[in-house]
Amino acid sequence: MFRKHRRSQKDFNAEVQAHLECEAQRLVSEGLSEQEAEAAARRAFGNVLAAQERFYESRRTLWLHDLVNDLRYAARSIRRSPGYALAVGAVLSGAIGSVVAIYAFVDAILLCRLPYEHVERLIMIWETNQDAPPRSSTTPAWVDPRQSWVSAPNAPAIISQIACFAATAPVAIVQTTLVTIRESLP
Amino acid sequence: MATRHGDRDRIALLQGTLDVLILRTVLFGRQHGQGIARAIQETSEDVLLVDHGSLYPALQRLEEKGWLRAEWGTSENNRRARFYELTKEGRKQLVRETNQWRRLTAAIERILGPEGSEA
Repeated sequence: MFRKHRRSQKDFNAEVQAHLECEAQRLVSEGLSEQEAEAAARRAFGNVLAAQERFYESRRTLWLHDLVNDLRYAARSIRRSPGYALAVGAVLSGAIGSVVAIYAFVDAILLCRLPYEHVERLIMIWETNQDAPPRSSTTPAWVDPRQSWVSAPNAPAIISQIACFAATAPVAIVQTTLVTIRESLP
Repeated sequence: MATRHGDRDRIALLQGTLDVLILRTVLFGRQHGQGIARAIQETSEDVLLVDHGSLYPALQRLEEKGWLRAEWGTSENNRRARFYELTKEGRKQLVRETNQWRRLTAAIERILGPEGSEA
């Protein structure tokens, strides 16, 4: 339940120092002078600083220590050049803001699913004529040319029908006829 | 850690070898770092020389894994030293690693064949 007590760097360094003293004393007893014994003990040990660094790095808080150091460095840099930091912040904010706005637009238009069951079958109808650019069609403004309509006083002049075509099919160009309302629908 | 054939003939030992040697050394009683290094050197008849700079991080690692337990004490020459002893988990780990090592060396021996057959 409780976190195991972690050994401190100070304790490790004390152990290394104790080892060096012990080794030096042993070498003195073998006939070396104190100075030579100390130097020999250090040589036998190798790089004391490297061993201490290895111990330090073995502790799991290294990433946190690095993060804190990086934040301190960043704070010092900002204090030294506030104008530059402000310019960088403004550029980053502008860039990130634009990307977010573009993504919101793309998400709403391209990625968001429409609330219909067979979205892939929805189509858009638009009409063109030689005198005007393409424009969206009003709903009952097209007539299937395969149908023949007798022009009679009571014939419905407006056909209102919603047709669903597969969206993967090529765009069908339907010839339309302009109709005139002869009689209002019941 | 190195074998004692002079600096030119140093042989790199497999990683983890030092760990099993340390565990084996403290099996017979608590010992401080310098004593462990000396025991390995003497028991191996000077074939193995422990690099003291590698010894203490290895001891630290074994302690963190729970295979060794340590406390400060006084050495035979009245110096302050940190003594290590084997834990129950450490004994189990020693048995595991010793078996693994014996299997490995036996396999290598079978491949190499008896001494004198390399010609």
